[in-house]
Amino acid sequence: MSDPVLRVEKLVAGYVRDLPILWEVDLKLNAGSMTVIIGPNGAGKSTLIKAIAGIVPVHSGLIQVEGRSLLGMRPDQMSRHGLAYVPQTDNIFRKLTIRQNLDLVLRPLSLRQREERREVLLVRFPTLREKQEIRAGALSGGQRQMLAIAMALAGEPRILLMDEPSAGLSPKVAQEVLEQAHALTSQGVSVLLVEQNVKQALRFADYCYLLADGRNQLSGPATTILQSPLIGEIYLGGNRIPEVAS
Amino acid sequence: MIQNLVDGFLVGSILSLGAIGLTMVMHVLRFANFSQAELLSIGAYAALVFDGVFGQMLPLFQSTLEPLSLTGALVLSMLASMLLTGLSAVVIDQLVFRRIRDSGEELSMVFASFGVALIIRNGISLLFGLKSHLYSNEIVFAIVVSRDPLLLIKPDQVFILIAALVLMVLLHLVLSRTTFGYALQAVAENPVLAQVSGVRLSFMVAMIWMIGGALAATAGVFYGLNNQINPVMGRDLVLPIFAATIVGGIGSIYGAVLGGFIVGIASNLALVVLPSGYSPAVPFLIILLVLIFRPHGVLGEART
Repeated sequence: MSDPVLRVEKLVAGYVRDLPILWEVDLKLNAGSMTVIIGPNGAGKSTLIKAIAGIVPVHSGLIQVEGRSLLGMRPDQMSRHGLAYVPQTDNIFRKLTIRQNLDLVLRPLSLRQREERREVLLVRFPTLREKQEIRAGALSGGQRQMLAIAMALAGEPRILLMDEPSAGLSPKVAQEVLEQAHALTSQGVSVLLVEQNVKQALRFADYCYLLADGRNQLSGPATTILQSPLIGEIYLGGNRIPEVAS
Repeated sequence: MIQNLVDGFLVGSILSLGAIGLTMVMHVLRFANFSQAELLSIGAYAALVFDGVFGQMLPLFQSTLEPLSLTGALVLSMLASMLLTGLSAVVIDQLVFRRIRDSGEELSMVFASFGVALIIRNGISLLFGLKSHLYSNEIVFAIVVSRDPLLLIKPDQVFILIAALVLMVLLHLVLSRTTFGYALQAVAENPVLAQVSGVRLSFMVAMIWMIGGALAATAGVFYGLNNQINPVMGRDLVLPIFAATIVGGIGSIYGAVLGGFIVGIASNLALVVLPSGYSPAVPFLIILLVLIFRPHGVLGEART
């Protein structure tokens, strides 16, 4: 089996020094795959993805992309290492137009390259094309999510981190967003997402990690996890799940 | 009344320039910077020094630009002052505010800003004395625009208003037409998202101080052209500038411009019905009224 594109080992991280939220979390993301992180509220799912994106301070452990450490890197440097992050909420600049949002992330490119890249993105997300000059704040929830994904893809990342992309969307739109995310894997993009919408996400994902209390609890192929009785126990109010070997 | 309105526009343009830097700093760095108005003093006094230097070095620039009272040397001085004041703001941030910011004590930054204001104000007093200074001793007579109602305007005032509006239009063009402007707006709206979108926050923070300082310098010079410059001009302007920022909505650059004009015009129009002693209270009354009906200011939005 090939080396994972993203490797997280014994990660201890949290917003405040000496008060970790994540305790020695391990995670691997294989090339061209879609991995989902699930867990109850407060499990540390979003903290994990934010720590990988450089937003939450890492206290100890290892985060590597294709063998290169990301520790100590600022969030604005992540795109240079092929990593893009889509936050759960407030993931577009509402006061900027769609075109301005895209140009913002494309600004390291020359004017010509920027126009070409913008055109590629608008072909992929045709609903954004006709609204290019509209302020992003006026878009619907689904359209905002599409713009957020388009912005993340602008830098042609190899790894896409998504924090609850279906949050606040109707089931139909949530399905479309997850389909879009899954379609990226066929283009070589590895997708790591956090989801509360567990069953829907597991249908698209290849692999799954279950976190609880900031620790790894379970991991395995998504199809296996989908059938695990533990899932129902966690999400239907069961007791805290026991330690399970992954 | 029309005279008060015109004077209000003039004062408003100066307040707007001062408020733009304050609103950006308050929104992005999340602290009320009470030393922002002292940047106007730094700008005004820096231009005074540069004016003397350029006047000696470039005799051709010493003659006044009729019908204005200002000289070519003062125009050059204003540009140099913008650069120097912008850099001063960046240095103050690096020496004082960044260190406190890094320790995560936002409230301490407010107290530190009081300290910075006192240091700047007293430093200027020490260097230049407590007496007022003028950029020009030339007596420029006002033009009678209308006799009934009486409307007098000095050519310098027309220059100030036009120059302030040109600066605001330039800022608007930068914000709305350049990717640097998009990045500035992005940092003001959502600093975390701006960073994950590839914007280097520390660079943009320095740029915010630079732009805010440069605009404050022009406001200081314009204030000096219209009045006199003295070491306590920052203290006198800090509350109207805060009022402009709050009324316009913290974080909104266009709101700061609008807030400056609202406060300037309202303060001057109030003179029609109120004794001049009550004038300083008017900005607070405007803040109260705006906050009752628009808690986030006229163009401001709730912080996400």
